[in-house]
Amino acid sequence: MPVRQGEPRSYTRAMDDTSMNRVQRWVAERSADRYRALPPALQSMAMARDAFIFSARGAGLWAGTLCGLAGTTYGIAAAPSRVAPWLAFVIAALLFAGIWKLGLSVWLRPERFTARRLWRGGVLMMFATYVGALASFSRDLGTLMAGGTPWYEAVVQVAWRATPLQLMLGVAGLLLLSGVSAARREYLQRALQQVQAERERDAAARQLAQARLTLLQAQIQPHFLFNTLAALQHWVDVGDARAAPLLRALTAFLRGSTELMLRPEVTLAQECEMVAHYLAIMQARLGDRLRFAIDIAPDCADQPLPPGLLITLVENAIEHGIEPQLRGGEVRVVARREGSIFELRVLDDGIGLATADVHEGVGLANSRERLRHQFGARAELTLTARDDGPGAQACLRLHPLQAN
Amino acid sequence: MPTALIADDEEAPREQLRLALQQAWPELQVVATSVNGVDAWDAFLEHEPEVSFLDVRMPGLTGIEVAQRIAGRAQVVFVTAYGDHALAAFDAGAVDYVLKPVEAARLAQAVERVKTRLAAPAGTSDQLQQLLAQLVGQVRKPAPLEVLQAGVGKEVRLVRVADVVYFESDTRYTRVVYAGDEGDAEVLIRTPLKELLAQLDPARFWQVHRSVIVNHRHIAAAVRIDEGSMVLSLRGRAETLPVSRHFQGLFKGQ
Repeated sequence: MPVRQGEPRSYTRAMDDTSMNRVQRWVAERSADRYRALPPALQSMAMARDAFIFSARGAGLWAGTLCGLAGTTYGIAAAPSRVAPWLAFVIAALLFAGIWKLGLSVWLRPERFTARRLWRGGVLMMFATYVGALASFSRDLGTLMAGGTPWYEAVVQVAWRATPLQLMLGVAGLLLLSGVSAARREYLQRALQQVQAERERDAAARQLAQARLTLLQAQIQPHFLFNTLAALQHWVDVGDARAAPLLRALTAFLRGSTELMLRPEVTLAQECEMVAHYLAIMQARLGDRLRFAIDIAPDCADQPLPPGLLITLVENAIEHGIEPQLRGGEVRVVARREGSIFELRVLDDGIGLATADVHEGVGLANSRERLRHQFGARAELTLTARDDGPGAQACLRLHPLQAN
Repeated sequence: MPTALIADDEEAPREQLRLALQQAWPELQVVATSVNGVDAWDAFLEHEPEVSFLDVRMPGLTGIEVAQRIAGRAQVVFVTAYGDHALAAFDAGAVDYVLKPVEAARLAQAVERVKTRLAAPAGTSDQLQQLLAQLVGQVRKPAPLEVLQAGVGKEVRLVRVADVVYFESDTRYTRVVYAGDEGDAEVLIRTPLKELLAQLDPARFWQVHRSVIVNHRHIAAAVRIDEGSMVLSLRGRAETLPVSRHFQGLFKGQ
């Protein structure tokens, strides 16, 4: 798990078993069942929380709690009600246990502390403190009732006397809880968004890397390579003069593909060089069944493109258009700029697209994906039957950036 | 002396295989080398070799389609480059194959198997046919031809393929007999019969002879003349069409 910026250090540290101290490990071992009972999303948070509480930095919490416990016990015991010290301690301990419980759950699940629940809890708290008030003012109650006041009036009087304090305590508690839960909610929300954003970024990066890899693999298809090697092998064996130029073209093509494919983008001229090597190889193999022409307007040479795009289109034209045709055919690559629109076309006069199911291959889908990545909606890649004769044409149109 | 056919659309591997076979099987006589599937099938019908070495990817008819037509009548060895998706199916057995560039040791092995099968023929060709039927769909093919264009004097006549009764090879032309709007008619086209075969729907058009393809809906009966020969009579037509030995299996009776 990568360390994320903006996370408390304890959060990521808790994930790492070796960084735990003895107490943390002891607590973690005993809490394993409790963690498992939690929803998976909360498990790591609960572990991190507990690890923080039992770390050196969490010691402050314990010190605060102990001081508070002592102070409250003393306060209750010293109140006019003269509560016995042990009872005062029990009351204080219960109070602090409640505070801890609240604190821990507001930290872990702030979404539970909605306004409605807080109000409900607040009302309950008021009642509870009134009961507490009646207990601590029991001596006053006794005095009043001994003075002839009816018991219900005595209760109201005592409660009234206690009200400002109870109200203040209750409202303060509510405000504190709602503030903490709101802050915590917001923090968790942000953390979640961050994680999601990161996940999306990772996915996009992975997708692109995958597309490039697939392309590289597709480019140097074993089928292409071994067929070319078969031709080479034979011509070397029999001393045919065609071996040397074929080997040179194959070397140049392989070097070119591996280098260009690793770049984020290439110019049309660079890609055309590779395409020319590829076509030379295929022509050596297919003989007069393949003819080709490359016609790039001078103002198109520097057009950036995703690497391997053009060669994929040319390969498709040969593999699906020319090779299955008895008499072979011609492949033409044409690049033009019409106004501000760049247009790259690969035309063949092969068997065309009139197959029963024209399923667009991996190559085309891959090309679209990478075009979308580089140009967004500006790029448009189509594969259609030629309207000026037999065969197919692949056409890439790049529209200019819209100023909007 | 055993005879063989070699078919590959690329010159180099075709020649390489021929040379390699001279080493691996000196007695084998290569009676035909073909540069595409339709030539290969035509050459098979002409020479009836005992072994056919077929490249998988060929224009016209693929190696697999040629093997489908041959199946049972001769031994087939596929020759293919590594990375061909059909390979996986070959590995399942039933069909033998060698990889390009051909290695002497592997070719010798394939040759041994062919010799064994030639010595003890008659295998289960049903399984082979099934396998080939699976493979055949893996290669992209153009849609069947729908309309023929034939020059007749100054006009170009369009003939719907569905209307054709039969095609007959006629030295340099193909004779097309069809049911036109004003009764039966015929035209001559330049496309050789063997090339037409690759463009017709095999479910509708049956090849019954090296030089005859017939629309099966027009067949009235198959008549056996003697041990080796058979003819077809057609619905509402006087002429008969010959059925050569290879295709007599189409008309078995039930």
